[in-house]
Amino acid sequence: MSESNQRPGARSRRQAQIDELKFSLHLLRQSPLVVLGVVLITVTVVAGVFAPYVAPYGPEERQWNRNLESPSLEHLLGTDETGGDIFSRIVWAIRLDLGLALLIVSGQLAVSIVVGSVSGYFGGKVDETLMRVTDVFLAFPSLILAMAVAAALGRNLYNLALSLVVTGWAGETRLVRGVILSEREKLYVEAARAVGASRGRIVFRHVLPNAIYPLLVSATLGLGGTILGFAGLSFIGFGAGSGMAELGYMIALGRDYLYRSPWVAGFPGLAIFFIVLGFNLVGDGLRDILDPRLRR
Amino acid sequence: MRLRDYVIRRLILLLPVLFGVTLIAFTLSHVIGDPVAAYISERTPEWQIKQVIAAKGLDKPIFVQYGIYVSDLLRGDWGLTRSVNDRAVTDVIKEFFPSTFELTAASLAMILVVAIPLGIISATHKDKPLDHATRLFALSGVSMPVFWLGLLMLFVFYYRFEIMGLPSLPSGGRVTPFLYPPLTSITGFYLLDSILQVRVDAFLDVLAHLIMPAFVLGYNGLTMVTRMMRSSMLEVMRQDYIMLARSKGLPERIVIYRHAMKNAMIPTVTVVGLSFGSLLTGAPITETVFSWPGLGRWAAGAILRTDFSAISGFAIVSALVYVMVNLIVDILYAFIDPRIRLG
Repeated sequence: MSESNQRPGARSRRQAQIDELKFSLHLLRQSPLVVLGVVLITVTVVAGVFAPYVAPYGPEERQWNRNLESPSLEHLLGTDETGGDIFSRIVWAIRLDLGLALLIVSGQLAVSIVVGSVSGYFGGKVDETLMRVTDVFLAFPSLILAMAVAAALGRNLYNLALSLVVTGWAGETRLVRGVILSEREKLYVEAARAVGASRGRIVFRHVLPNAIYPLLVSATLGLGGTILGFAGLSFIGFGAGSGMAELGYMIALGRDYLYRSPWVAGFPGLAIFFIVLGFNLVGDGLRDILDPRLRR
Repeated sequence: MRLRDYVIRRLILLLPVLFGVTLIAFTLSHVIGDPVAAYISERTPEWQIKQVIAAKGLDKPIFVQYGIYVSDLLRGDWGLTRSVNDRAVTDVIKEFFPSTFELTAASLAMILVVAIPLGIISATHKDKPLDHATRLFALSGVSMPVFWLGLLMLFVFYYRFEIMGLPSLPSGGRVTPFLYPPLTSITGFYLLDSILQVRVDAFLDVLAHLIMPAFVLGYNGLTMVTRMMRSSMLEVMRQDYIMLARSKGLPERIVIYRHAMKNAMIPTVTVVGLSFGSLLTGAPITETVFSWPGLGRWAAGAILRTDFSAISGFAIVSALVYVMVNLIVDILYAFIDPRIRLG
């Protein structure tokens, strides 16, 4: 038995990890803001995933003779200028926006893990070069670059998503590199090297797991930021095409009827606000709990 | 390391960054966009187009074109912008910069006035309802789409207030178009101009135009500063000298505002500096919603019209501002905190 190899009273490493996780979860539950965030995220994710069952009307279904109606029992949040049911369109749009945001953030994470690991582990000239490249991407106005890339590729949703991956990887790359730089010199890495582990194994099995929590925080906050950025670009006129159920685009359409029918722009914006607030509350809570200086 | 050496080393490190930025801007304007478009209009005759192509070396190999592009930039010839009546990009930047700067300064003032006290309140009431409320308020700012908040404010303060006969705020722009007598621009900063000319009416008018966009921009930028202030206050409050101050019997107010706040401000200054940089490069969306004649709105419009010389000019200005602000913040940091050694 493995237990017999340990000194009496010493907890196994795995047990310590589990206790740590339990303690973190306990702290998370203590914070009403995190609980609020979890509720907001759960509601929107459920609405998005089960959109076909939640939304009473289709995403582009229209009743042309019933446009710009104020909220009623039949149309919970009113109708837009083409007679689309705003509640249904929001539910469908959440499905689209949330899915794309997940895709964008995963893309950014993939790039930043690879580039950050290479940069941090190899160091020297490789690191210097890669870091100058991230400097350039941090210095270049990201919204403008995203718009330019999206414009160059042709304006549609997927190119917009791609442009956000291209412009948004630099910050997390720095994060990964920082963790790897600080872990690289530690004893356990040397031990792994002494045992004969390959570079790839050391980076991916031993060093990178230390970056999981900072990356988790950054990705949670990143999801909120991505949804906002995406909606903003599509508000200015990139991405979503005519009639599509996409939150930023719905607000852009509602802008023309702002004074007459404020619900057309108002509710989609409220939906964005709730989703992004959810991610920010959870991300912020996670960051506090993982920050040992604030933990006590 | 001496300060001078540090600054020189940092400035040298800027060169590769600026090189990279010009490379991206060049790719956008010459490879993806049509560079000739910057110098011609629809009415330009064919022979003139050929002349422009020859004069600008656009028939030469791409790396030669890049050389020409950079030397033009260095000579101050940044091309013409189609979005603003084919005017020189440099002139347009000179005109729009004060406008964006004024908006930035106003929202930064709002951030400082609101975020720092909020951070302190949040820290001194840690995990109490007041802390949760403050954090919720601060996080809401960064969770709202700025264009939506802008539209909501327009709906309430411009439209509803007008209908209800309350004093309403203007819907956009920097100053009422037919203000009489018109405000002559001296510095480009309208608030300053109206003070210099002792124009109370103009000052109030400019201020009324500034409130909504500055609030929208500031509310968005407030979160980071509040958060930083809160966590550095929490850290400072655990230090021994705070315990000493308390055990001397100093009132809590003095302990917080005299002893703790001063040191908690150090990391906050960095964050304030960085948000100043990001605000200064213009807020394309806020400026668009409030028809604010600044760099951000110009850049957003330029992209919709594929006006690439404008985009390249804007990108270079933004990058310059970004790297300079970073440098200044780092130097400032060393000045306020003697523990920091420049390395």
